[in-house]
Amino acid sequence: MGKKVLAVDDQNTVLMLERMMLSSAGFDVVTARDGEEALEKAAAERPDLILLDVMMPKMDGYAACRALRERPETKSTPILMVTTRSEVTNMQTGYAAGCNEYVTKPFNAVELVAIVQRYLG
Amino acid sequence: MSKKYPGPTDYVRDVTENTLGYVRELQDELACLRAALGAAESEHRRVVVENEGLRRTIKEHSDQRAKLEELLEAVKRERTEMSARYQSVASETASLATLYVTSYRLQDTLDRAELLTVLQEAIISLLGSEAFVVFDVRRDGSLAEVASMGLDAGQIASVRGRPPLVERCLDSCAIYVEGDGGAEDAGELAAVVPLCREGVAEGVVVIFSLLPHKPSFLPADRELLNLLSAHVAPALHCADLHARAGASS
Repeated sequence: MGKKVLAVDDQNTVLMLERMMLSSAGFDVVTARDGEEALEKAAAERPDLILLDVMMPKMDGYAACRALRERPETKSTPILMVTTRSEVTNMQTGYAAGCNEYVTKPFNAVELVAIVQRYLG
Repeated sequence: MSKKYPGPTDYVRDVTENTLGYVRELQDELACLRAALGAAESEHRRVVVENEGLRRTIKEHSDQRAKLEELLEAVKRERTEMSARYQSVASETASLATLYVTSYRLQDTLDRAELLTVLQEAIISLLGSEAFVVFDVRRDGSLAEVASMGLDAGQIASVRGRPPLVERCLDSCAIYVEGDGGAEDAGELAAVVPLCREGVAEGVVVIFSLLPHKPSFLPADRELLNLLSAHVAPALHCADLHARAGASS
């Protein structure tokens, strides 16, 4: 069984692209559509890595990241923020929330897989 | 008692004996020197032979090194080529994945609103723009806004007026991407993508700018825009037919 990745994004197009590329690289992929669902899935599925969008309904990526870091089971899980927001202040907010890396959209799907492999290789 | 003094004969004998002893010493020393010279000559010959052997070995090693350097250069060239090929394949794979996902999503629904969402997701997250507008082309040729993001009313109105570049793209069903020749009148428009069905534009996407961290359009972006240009309008048409069929039944 491959390492498990939780992909969180409110855009189905992005989720489908992430699922397709990561599955073909041998990862098991579970998805969530917003921050709240991400917390539920993270608790239930215990992913090895989380791809987290920032702009989402209900709970945004920063809040979700902070909540994940407060939980023992996801305290040290790698979290990659995947977002169109590339401004320095957004990045600082992301890192302050506890993310490990900041990936900007549009991302190169092959490069995204390489980054995930770097953490889970 | 009278003291006996050496006579001349004794003196000559002593000198002769001393001389003979000295000659013998010199002869012994000469013999040693000759032996040493012989040994040195022998050592010299051995060293010369050894030197020749070493020269041959050095030459062999030099030849081998030259061959290895050639091989190393060939390996480096091959590695560079492989790296470039890998980059190309990776880029193509990423592009194909993007096209596949977009195409799949456009074929996956018969709901007009969902199709417009797919279109916007592709523009925002796959292309990288948050400053665009999508218009339907009405029967009378006027443009009706169906979706937009990051633009003010003036910018949207400027497109609604069908400026020459938009007009040309609608007439020819050809996309315009920033940097294309023959579009000095592009102004602040970065891309114009007519949404065509059977050679007729039924809508248009006008992109004003890319995200700040994306400096320009990539070759793969043109592929994506071509796909949107060719597949969005038929998908919207099917959605409209489906809605009408549902309404009439």
